[in-house]
Amino acid sequence: MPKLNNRWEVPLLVVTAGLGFAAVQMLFASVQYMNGISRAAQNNVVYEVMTTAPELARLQATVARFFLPDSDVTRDDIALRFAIVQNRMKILRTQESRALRGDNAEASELLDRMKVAVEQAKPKIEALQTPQDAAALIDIFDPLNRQASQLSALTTANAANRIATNERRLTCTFWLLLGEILGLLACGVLLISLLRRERRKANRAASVDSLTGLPNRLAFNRALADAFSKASLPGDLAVLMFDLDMFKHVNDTLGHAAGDRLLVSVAERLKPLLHDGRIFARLSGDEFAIIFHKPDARSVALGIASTIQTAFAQPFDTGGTMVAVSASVGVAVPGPEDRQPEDLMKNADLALYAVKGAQRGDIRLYEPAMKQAYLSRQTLSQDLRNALANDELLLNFQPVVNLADGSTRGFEALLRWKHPQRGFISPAEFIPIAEESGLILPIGRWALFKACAVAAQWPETISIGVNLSPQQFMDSELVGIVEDALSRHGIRPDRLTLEITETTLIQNDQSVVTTLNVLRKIGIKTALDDFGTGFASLSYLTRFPFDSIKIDQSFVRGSTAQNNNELIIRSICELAGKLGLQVIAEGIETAEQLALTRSAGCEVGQGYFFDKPMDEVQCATRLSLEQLQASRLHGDATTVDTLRA
Amino acid sequence: MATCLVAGRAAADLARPSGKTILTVGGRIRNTNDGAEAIFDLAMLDALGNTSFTTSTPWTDKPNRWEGVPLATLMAAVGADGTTLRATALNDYVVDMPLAGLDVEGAILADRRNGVPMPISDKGPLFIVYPFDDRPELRKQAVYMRCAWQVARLDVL
Repeated sequence: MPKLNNRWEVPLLVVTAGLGFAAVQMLFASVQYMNGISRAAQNNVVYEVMTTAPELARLQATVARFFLPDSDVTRDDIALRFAIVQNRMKILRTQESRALRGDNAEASELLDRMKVAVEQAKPKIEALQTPQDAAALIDIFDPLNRQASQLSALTTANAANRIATNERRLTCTFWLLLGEILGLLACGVLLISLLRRERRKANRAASVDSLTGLPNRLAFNRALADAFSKASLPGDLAVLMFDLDMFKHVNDTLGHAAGDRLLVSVAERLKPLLHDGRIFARLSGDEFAIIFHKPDARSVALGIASTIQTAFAQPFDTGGTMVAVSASVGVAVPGPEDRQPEDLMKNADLALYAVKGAQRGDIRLYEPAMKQAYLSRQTLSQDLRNALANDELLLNFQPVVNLADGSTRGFEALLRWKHPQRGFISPAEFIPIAEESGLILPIGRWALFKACAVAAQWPETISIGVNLSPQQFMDSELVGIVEDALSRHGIRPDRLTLEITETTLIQNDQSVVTTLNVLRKIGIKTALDDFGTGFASLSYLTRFPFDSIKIDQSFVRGSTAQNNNELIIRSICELAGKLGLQVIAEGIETAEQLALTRSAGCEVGQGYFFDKPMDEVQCATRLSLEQLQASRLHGDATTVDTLRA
Repeated sequence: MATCLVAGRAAADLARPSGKTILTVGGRIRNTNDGAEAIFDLAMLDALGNTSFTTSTPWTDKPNRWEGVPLATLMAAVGADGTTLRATALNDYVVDMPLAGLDVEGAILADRRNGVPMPISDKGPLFIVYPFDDRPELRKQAVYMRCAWQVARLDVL
């Protein structure tokens, strides 16, 4: 289609310009032509010729009257009349007169004869004496009367011809101009219709998502604004918003082409199911939305939400690879406070956000509490911005012990926030906020330096574990910061263990391997945290170079009652052993759990059974006590002496 | 403009011609020398102050030098008090022209061509000429019609 337009555009413009140019030229030519007619002394010429016959007649009459009895005609009168005729002869013979009359041979001959006759008459006028002289003179002029009449007739006919020619030319000009104007009009209409078609196409393109063919955000917003203004009852309107869980993972592991195909498959599968919706649009990325505008829209929307989830039960074809994904759905209906379409969108978004925060692949209907939660998150985010400067952040340390004898191998540093009004705020609450707002980078940096500062007080055999968020791990300055923290506090690199979660691995595949290798080269230990909660855990162990893995507490806590978990822990330990990885069991809270993890092959662990997270003074106390016990047990004289001293 | 200037002049009698009368001015004029009319011989006309210019006309094959009193000057001299000037020729040709604009357009009542008085047999004795070559916008039918030759009489209407 665009090709066709391009092909027409240039010729059409050329034709338009050509017609316009021709019309303007034609107008100028007409004006010039009119001026030409006006400038030529054409009217005068006709009069000049027409008066010749009367002037001749008056001369003859004057000559005749001169000889009548009691005549008052003088010789001067005759001379005047003759001079007038002489003058007329000169006028008729000027070039311009001849040209304007368009004299032919016949007219020229007439003029010559008249001239000769007037010249012949001249001496006879001067020598006029008798009536016989007068008769002879009149005889000379007699044929001139006829010739003057003929010349008049010829000139008049010529003038009529000229007028007819002018009329013809004007008529011709009129039709040409009319044609050009009509042509211009046609070109204008064509150009405008082309323009309108282009605009329609551009409008259409602007409101359609090119990937899925669904309406896009622009079209959706328009439809929502329209529905919002037309909905007479608040219950008539509902917005459903959904996105694909872990869509980024599909993009990262299968490539963006597969991701795109997944989106197309989703659109194709859902489209036939969504007749109840007024518009089904792709807003952005993997985010889709539907507007419902009918009685009891809320129930309809929730019904459709279930339909969508059912549709997601079957895996999608992404061009060879079948991918199973779930969808998280948020639904919102206008409340009394929602005056703008945007409010409704925000609510649907909050409902979707709530699903993501709780359990992916679920359906949530917006409720005001979500907005409250959102607002309090906003407030908390604001407060967190000041937390570092106000010294509200602190570190706690949880001992990591040898399961064989309970002795301390090291500590895991845990971030705490003491809010000036709300007191201690759970990391589960504020860490996501820090990650969303990007504050995690300065906070994480602070935690790293603080942890190293505290660890510098401990014996060199005691290690320190610090958690890194995905953002921190992707920070290009990470290695420099870590080296800086180590050197500033004189910590040997192998005492520091950086713990990252599986989420970090999922989000950034190849670069993670590179960073891990750099860190290990420096001598820093790395640990895979919360092992077993995410995706494809076992494959990660071979692909990424870790020193240790930390088995998630959910396996440990469930391990006493469920044999499966014990089996899993045992398998992980065996696999880790073969890969040369150390296994740390998290969340050991009871003696039974300790016994089980030990029997499963774990050598190291942490949890409330050993000690709760403690401040740096408590850490120092614990380490001193341990040292004291050790010296008692072994009866080590030097230690006892040292203590005495 | 011309009318205003003319109106400003006081009525005064003109001198009588000593030579042969070649022009009679009649109609609404204030300055007279022959009853209600003003008559002129060649010397009187010349005495009003001649102007000259060279121009071609549709009735002459070559450009000529035309000399004579400007019509505006003549109208002022006779104290013309009208809107239209009517010229009548010896051959009874009659043409009307507006008084206003005579001074701007520069029409003269030529009595000499190339320094020589004109005979009746060649557009004489008086010929109304416009400076067509200097002012091409005058080259149109309406102005051509005003160019009367063998002018013998002027009337202010």
